[in-house]
Amino acid sequence: MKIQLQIGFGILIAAVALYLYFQLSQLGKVRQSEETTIEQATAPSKTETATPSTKLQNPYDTPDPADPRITRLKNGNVLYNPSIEASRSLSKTIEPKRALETIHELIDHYRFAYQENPVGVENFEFTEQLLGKNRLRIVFIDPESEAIQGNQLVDTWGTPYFFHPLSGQKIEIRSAGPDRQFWTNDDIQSANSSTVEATM
Amino acid sequence: MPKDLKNISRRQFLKAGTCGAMTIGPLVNTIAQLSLINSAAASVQNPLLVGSDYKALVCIFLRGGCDMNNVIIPIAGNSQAEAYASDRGAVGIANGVVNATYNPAGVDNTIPINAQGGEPYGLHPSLVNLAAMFNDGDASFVTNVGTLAEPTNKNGYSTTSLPKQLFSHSDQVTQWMSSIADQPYTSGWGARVSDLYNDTWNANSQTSMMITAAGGNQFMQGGNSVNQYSVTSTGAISLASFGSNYGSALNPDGSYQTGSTGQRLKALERIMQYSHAHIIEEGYSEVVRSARANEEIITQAIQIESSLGIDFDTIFTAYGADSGIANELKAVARLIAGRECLGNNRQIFFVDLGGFDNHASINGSLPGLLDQLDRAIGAFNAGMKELATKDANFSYDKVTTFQASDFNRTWTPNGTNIVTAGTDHAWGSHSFAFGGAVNGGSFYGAYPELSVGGLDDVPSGSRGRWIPTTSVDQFAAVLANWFGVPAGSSEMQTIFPNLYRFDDPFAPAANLGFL
Repeated sequence: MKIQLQIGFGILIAAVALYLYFQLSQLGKVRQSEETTIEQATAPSKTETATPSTKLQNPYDTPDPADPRITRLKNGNVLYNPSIEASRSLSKTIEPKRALETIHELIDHYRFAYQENPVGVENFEFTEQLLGKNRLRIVFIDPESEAIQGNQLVDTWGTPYFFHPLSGQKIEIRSAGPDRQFWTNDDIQSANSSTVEATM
Repeated sequence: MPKDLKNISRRQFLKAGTCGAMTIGPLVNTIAQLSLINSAAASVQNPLLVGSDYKALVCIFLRGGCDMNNVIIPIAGNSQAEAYASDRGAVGIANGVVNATYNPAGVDNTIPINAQGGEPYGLHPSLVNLAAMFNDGDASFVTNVGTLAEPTNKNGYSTTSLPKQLFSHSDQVTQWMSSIADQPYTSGWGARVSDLYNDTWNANSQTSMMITAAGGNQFMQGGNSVNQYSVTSTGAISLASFGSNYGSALNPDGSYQTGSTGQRLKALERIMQYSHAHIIEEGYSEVVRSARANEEIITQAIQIESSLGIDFDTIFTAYGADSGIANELKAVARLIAGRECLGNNRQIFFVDLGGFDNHASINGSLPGLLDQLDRAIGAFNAGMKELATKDANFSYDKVTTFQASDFNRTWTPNGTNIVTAGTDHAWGSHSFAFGGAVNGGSFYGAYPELSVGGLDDVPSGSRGRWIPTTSVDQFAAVLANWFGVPAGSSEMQTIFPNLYRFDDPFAPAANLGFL
């Protein structure tokens, strides 16, 4: 009887040991995974894009230096390539309505990263945030864009756009139009990238 | 919302919003009164449900962001009058200071007010009644109040936590109404007051403690136990397609008309009396029955004024108050007069006026808007005074009305043309309050330094966007305290979870003793 109890106790101890071993090994895997994530987040800046190693829905949820959509600059800024690419169409010859759509597209990219629009009401506040003055230093517009004059985004006639924040998710952008005067009949405005219209 | 959906109760199910999905429209307002159906008739007959402890809080919300820089105006003799005249330029009101372009004769078009112990100020020329109320001690202003996540100033602007989506309309409206500037919206502070105190204050309640004459609003939304009830400016919202106030379906004696519309209403009401095993069917029927019961209560309450010898139509007409907000406030006045029918010792009302987002042509828009507001509040204030003379259980200090808006507007205009210029979104604003309990004729809080790039200006840009020196939390806490929420209580902390971050609004140093 005593021997049977000792055997049973031994089996119990072994089972507990196996269980603890299994749990600790799982914990180790989790920690390894976390360390990988931290390493990714603190990876040295690169100036070139790389081939993708993972498929991420949002490149900012889990920073991945290999994500082809981002280019890390040595100064710490991060170019978001789809947005940068879109911004390069903002030339002086772009069709005015298309320019408004493009700026909305840039703000869409910003909202994709931060789940909200840039905060502010002045043109330069929006422009600076699109240029990288944001928490993760993500650049959404080509700093060399012809649409940037000083620290403001300007329309094809050279007038700074008027930004009207309706909410954290919706913003109206207005161009003063060819007469360069706001609130006149030739103004062009839009609430999103698909509703650009001439208005007053 | 319980995790175990198998154990969900009918009430929990209804609260979760299913009724809204059933497209029963305004009837959802009555959902919190499901338990009151049986007592509806009794309420009309019992005139003693509300005692002398009655208090009503009325919120006037100016949608779009009212330019309060043109409501309180420093006039000649005020140390900031020169700055006003030069900086406001095309949108400035002539304040007695010469401006070579816009006021070469140095005319003063403002209405002077006698702010106690302060420099000379005037109100916008449209605010005749508000100026009189201020000078009579009925009204006061709390200056430079706004949404804040924590105290901040020019030096701390870039390092402190700021309200979410500062300068955007809907976010700032939400934060004014929730008084929680750094968290996603879950409820309004009016709803939280009601949640905590409705059972205590309103033991004989026959309808919601929160009544809106301006449709659904976030100030009253999100409560766990009390929902807002919508009325129109003429009374309860009737079921659609039966004529105005069931005029096409009911005879004057309440019987059904013999025509198809009358018989349709009769059939509908009979169907609604059936009991249903399915919770959704039963819930729908209960809501419809409750809505009809509330309609009766509201209709009875609206009619009390005549038995008291008051005619609010005459009072409002005398003030030329016939706008939308005037009619909303008239409905509120009638419901206050008929409070015995509603059975609530504490009642919160909500009205609003839109159109203040004047990025362009503000000189053409603002005077008319302020005129509408001024006539409405003048008439409402007179109505409350009149009610106090006719109703022995009512006194003028039972009702406190306060005003709020999305935000103030930029100090500097966005143009130089007096026809087209407007102002843009800013931050710290001024709010007025009036009523018999208000310590009137004064400015409370801290009046801002009206200087571009000055101590109170947001250190970004150069438009004059005042950083609030009083938070919405502090402002609202004083109102809630007057309403009955003890200062320093756990309930106050629950209603205003960020209040502890700011100076005690009840300490003299806060200068918020407007009530």
